[in-house]
Amino acid sequence: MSERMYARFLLFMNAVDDDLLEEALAVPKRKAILHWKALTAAVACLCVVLGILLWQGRSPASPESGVTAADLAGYGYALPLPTDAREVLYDLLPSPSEIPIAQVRFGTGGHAVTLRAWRTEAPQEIFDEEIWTDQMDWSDGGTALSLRSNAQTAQVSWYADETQWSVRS
Amino acid sequence: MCRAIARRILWDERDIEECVNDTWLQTWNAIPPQRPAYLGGFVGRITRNLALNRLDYNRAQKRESTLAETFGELDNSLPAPGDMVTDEVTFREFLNRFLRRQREEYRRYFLRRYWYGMSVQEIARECGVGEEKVKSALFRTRNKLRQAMEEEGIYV
Repeated sequence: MSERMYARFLLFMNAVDDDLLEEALAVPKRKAILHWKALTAAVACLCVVLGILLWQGRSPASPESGVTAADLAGYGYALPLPTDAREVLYDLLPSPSEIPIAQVRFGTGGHAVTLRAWRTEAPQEIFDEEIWTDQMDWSDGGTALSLRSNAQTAQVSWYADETQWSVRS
Repeated sequence: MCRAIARRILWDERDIEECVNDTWLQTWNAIPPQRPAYLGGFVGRITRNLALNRLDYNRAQKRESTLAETFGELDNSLPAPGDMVTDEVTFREFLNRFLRRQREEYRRYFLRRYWYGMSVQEIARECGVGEEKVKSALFRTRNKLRQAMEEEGIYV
C-alpha cells in the first residue's frame, strides 16, 4: 500500500460517525421480518385449528333419521354440530379397518356441510378425491392439518388423538 | 465485536489480544466524563484506532492487514486527487452525509466491507442475501461515492 493510499485509508477509517458504525453491525431487519412472517403463519394455523376445535365442542342437535348419534357413539365417535344445524343426517361408512367412518351431513348458514371422522393410527384421506386449485398441508409430530379448495368446494382436515377429521362444504 | 474489528486490521493474535485489553482500559478511562450515545460504535472506534496505531507500527515492518487490502478495492474507485486536498472535517461531514443518503441495506454492506473488512461471503451470509446482491450494492455505492465526490469537489 502506497503512502498516499495509506493516508486515505486512515482518513476514511476515522471519518464515519459512531451511530452508522453501530448500525452496520446490527442484525438486519430482513431477518426480523421473516421471523414475523413465520410467526404470523403459525398463529393463523393455530387460529384455524382452535376455531375448528371450538366449533366441534358445541352441543349436538338431535338426529332426524337413519343412523343416530348413539350408533356413532357405539364406535366411540361424538360428532358435535353447530347449534343452527338443520337437516342433520348421521351415517356410518365402511372403511379398510374394522372401525367404520362416522359421517354427519347438515345445513348451516346456507351451506351443505359434511363432517367425517375415522379412528385410525395415521392421517388418512376420508373423502373422495377432487381436483383442488388451492391446497396447503402442515404436520408436526402426531398432528396434521390440510386445507383444500376449488371453485365449488372447500375442505379442512386434521388428524389428532388418533382420529382423522375432515369437514367439507 | 472488538476482537473481530482488531482481527481484520491486525494479523498477530498477541497484537489482537493487546488491542482488545487496551480497548477496555481506554473505555474505562473515557467514561466518564464522556457519555457516548452509541456505546457499540464508541467502543468499536477505540478498538479501531488502537488497531490502526498498531498497524502503523506493523506497516513499517511490511506487514499488511485484511482491512487495508480490502480498502484497495474502494480506493481504486475514488477520483484522482486534485490540486487541492479537502480538509479532514469537511471530508468527514461529506462522507457521513453521503452515507446517510444511501439505503440502509446498502450502507450496511458498504461499512461492513470497507470499515470492518468483512468478505462478501460473510456479509451475504450474515445479512441473509445472495453474494451477487452484495457485490452489486457495493459496486453501485462505490460509483455513487465517486460521483458525489466529483460533484462536490471533494479530493483526498
